Amino acid sequence: MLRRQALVSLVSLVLAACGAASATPTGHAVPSELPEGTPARSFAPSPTGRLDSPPDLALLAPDLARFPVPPDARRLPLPVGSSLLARWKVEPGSGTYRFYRDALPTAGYSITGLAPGDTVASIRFEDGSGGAWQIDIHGDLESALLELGPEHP
Amino acid sequence: MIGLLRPTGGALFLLLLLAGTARAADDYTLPFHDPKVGLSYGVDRDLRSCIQADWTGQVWVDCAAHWGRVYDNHTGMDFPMVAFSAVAAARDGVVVDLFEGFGTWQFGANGNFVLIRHPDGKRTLYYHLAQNGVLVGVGDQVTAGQVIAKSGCSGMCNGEHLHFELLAQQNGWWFPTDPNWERRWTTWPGRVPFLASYWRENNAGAETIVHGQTIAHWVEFRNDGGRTWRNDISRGRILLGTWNPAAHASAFRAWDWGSSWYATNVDRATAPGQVGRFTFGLYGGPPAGSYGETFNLVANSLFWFDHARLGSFWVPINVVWGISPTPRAGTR
Repeated sequence: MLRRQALVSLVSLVLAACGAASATPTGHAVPSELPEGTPARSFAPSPTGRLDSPPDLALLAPDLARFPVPPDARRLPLPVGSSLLARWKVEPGSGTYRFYRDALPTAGYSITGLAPGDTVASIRFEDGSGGAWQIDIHGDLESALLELGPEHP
Repeated sequence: MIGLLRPTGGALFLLLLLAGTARAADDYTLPFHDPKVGLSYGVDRDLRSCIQADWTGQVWVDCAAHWGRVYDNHTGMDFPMVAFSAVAAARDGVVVDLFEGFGTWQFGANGNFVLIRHPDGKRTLYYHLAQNGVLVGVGDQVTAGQVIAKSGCSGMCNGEHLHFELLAQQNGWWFPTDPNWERRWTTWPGRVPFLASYWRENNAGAETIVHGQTIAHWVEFRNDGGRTWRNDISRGRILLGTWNPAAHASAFRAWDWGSSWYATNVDRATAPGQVGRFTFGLYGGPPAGSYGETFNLVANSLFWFDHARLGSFWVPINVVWGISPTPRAGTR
């Protein structure tokens, strides 16, 4: 009887934990897409700098309203389930890569890595609170896509 | 380089995976001289759409770019390089094709390139070069480590870099292979061709010479590059020459020097990772006084080494009148 009660308690605990986990924002939480022209939520750094629990990216992310964007960029909706913060359509060519190489330091971000390529280029950078972010440019001759999200492998 | 070859995706996928089973040290070195250059993205050995096999063996079932590893359908290795940096031949070979007419930053389907045929039948491709930045001609014999071009961002390019590709022929088709996965470098990981660091020298690096007499001096450097230091008469052999300015006529040239600036070859062949000694004479030609002579390593006719990495090597020389030098032991 005692063993049965223990089993029931264990199942209850597991179920409760699952419920809690599903309700907790994860490291890959998807911020709701902001309509064009809507100011992004202001940047709210953690008091300790680093969080023990997974952060809410929408709170830690660069302020999209002030984030440098190429003049030709057109904001796109985020794919469902994406961990990206924002996505834009840009002109093909290496202009976007050069734009961010220059604009990120000017906007107060520290570039931590550059990875140029043929059809892909990435730039890693940090904000003042140690948040690590990445811009990926996917482009071919016809079109190019710019993605902003957390640093990823 | 996208679009150089258009075999069927399935056949290419199989060939790339099969090629990956051969993993032996080969005779290629990294196609540049700057040891700080890292890999942006390597070869995708699985050219099925959105399935990526990187150089570590990891397979990614997605279409994303993976920093330092791979992006989908990539046929070569991308190395970030500031425009107009030196691009070097990865192995001895013959230039079989080139183009240099595109603008250095001209975006488009094609760009400037050099294609080299090697003794093992493979070919290497150097892509996105600067306009008029090719330093060799079709038919030229090139030596491993020779600077063949200046980098740029011509063609299908997002940010200045060198796209390097190793091609192997199968059934009449040329296929991209992965030098990292197949361990085609002379060392693992691959190294730049010519790199050295100061090790030690005799007489604590300082010499006293009686005016009109010759003494023997030796210095040792560690071979931190990917190519074995040869001491034969070939192009690319490693020798010690005067520096600052490069190849100036030395006032301390002894009878054993090869020329007014060329003091000596490395004493014996020195593999990557080993220490090579250079023994040469110093002649007390100038009047009594305190002098110095600066030297640097050079891959003959190809490349002067980074002098700073050699501890800015120079030999303080004290010339005296008719007094025997006091023997000293030790290292600097």
